[in-house]
Amino acid sequence: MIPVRLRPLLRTVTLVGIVLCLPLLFVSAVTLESAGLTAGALGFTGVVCALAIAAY
Amino acid sequence: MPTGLMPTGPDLSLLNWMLAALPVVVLVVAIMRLRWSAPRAGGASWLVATGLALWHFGGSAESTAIASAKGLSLAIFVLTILWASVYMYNLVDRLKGIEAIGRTMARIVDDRTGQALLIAWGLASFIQGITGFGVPVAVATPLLVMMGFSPARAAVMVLIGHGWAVTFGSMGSSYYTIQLVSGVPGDEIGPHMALLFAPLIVASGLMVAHIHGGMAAVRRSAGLVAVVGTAMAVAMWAMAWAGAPQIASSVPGLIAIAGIGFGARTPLLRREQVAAPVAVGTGPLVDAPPGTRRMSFHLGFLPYYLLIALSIISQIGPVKDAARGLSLGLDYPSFVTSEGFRVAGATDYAVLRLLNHPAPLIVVAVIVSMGAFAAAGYWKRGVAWEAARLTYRQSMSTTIGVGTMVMMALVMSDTGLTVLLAEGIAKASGPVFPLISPFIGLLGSFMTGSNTNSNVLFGVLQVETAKSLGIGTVTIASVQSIGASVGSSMAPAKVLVGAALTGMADREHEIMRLVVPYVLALALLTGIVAIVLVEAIPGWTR
Repeated sequence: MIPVRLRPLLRTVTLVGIVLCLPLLFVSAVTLESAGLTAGALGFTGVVCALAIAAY
Repeated sequence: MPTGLMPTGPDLSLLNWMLAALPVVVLVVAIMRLRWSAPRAGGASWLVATGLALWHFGGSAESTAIASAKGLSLAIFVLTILWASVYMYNLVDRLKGIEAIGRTMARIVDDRTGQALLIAWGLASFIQGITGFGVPVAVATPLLVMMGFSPARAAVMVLIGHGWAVTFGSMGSSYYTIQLVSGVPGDEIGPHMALLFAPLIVASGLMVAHIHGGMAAVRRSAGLVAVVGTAMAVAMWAMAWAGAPQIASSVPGLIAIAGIGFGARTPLLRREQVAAPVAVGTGPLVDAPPGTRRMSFHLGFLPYYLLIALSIISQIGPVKDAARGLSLGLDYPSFVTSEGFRVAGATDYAVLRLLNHPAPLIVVAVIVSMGAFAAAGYWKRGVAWEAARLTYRQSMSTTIGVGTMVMMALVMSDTGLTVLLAEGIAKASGPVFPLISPFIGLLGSFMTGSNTNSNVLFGVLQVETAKSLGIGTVTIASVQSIGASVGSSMAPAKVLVGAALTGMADREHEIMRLVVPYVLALALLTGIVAIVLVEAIPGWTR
């Protein structure tokens, strides 16, 4: 359980994270076509979703 | 268009169908049973959808990443409208412009049923047209309470009165979403959907009268509602036909305000014999203290006048042509999953045209209005920053919720899960699908609190099911959004806003109990109209 006082910070981090997801996913999967970077970007997106679950 | 081309994809078996339904089931259970917020439920459902895509339905990291990126591209298209419109509202509200608009509305009509229609059916719908996201409930409900209406009925009248305006509301964000996810051209689905909305516009007006004063109020106001409702429906169709769907709720809303204001003084409205309305509290009906300047209606309304004008100008031929060059959009490659599900490449996916998209138009309207407010002496130092901070707080949760849910929906559709669900529903429902279709849309907006989210979640599913059954996809895509539009009126998020604003924070169930039958009746009416049209005029319901 996340302490209530940490939730606003975590929510901001989640928002910043989801903003970063699009460039990370697009550049890794479409521009660079790198399997390793794409897996990393997908993992990052998963972490952002996990943060959303924890923060809200 | 996020779906596959000639998709083969996963086999339709009971296990596969149940697994394909799992992300949606997680979303429904998380919101309805566990009472999770939209970001939390969206995050969980994306994790489930991605896990299933990668480990059961033949998706790769690349295909899932592309699908998620497409989801976020789509989310940006919608969220920019949300941020811009909420900011504009907050700015005008902080400068007391919304109060000026509301005060004028309250003085236009002195008949109680006329007032209920003016505020709940006209003003709330107009506000939904230009901003949405709970703002109509936030503005119109307290106004009705100040005018002496009971708190619960005030909230329910507003919830039902503006339900028809949600799809084309918020500058068309839900409409654009259903158009994008269904892949139906705007010049087809816009006018088609507007025609299907016509009976609902009239029905919601009659329902507002019924909530206020039962069948007696319905009989008194039937003439006015029929005439004004017809004019609203014609205006909605005309805006959609003219390629201006972003104002296809706000213009009918304005017509409702003008029509009720004028018509309430004619025999179209048989007047109630009651005392003049009683103002309570310190709201807009109370006179200003001596020496205090109040903003005029027209100045308060200036940003919305400008927005309507810019929306119309943006549709003029040369401007529209120029807009094609000024655009932001990403190109996505085609791919095939290991289960054989093919997804077509997309050029300029969810493109933002700088002279056509509502968000830049709102920004221009805001900048010009700021100058006008300053010139008239109403500008307050720091108000722009204050409105921005408020907008950030109000939009943060919705932004994460929309982002995660749209990603989940695109992962599902680009891995073949949505098509699989559609095939299963098509086999089970058969010819009665048009009757069920609006309730699927309703379920989506009830779950997520958003017409837009419902369209993302179920738009492709509905269209694929219609294709499987040989039913017109334009009609079913329209019916999905209409069901979601009226269904958003019983979304817990909206009901809670209404309850909080009317001092009923611990009695939400009273509002819910009143609102649900009206919403279900509107969805049923939509289904009946759809099934009659599909059966009677199959050529029209393409």
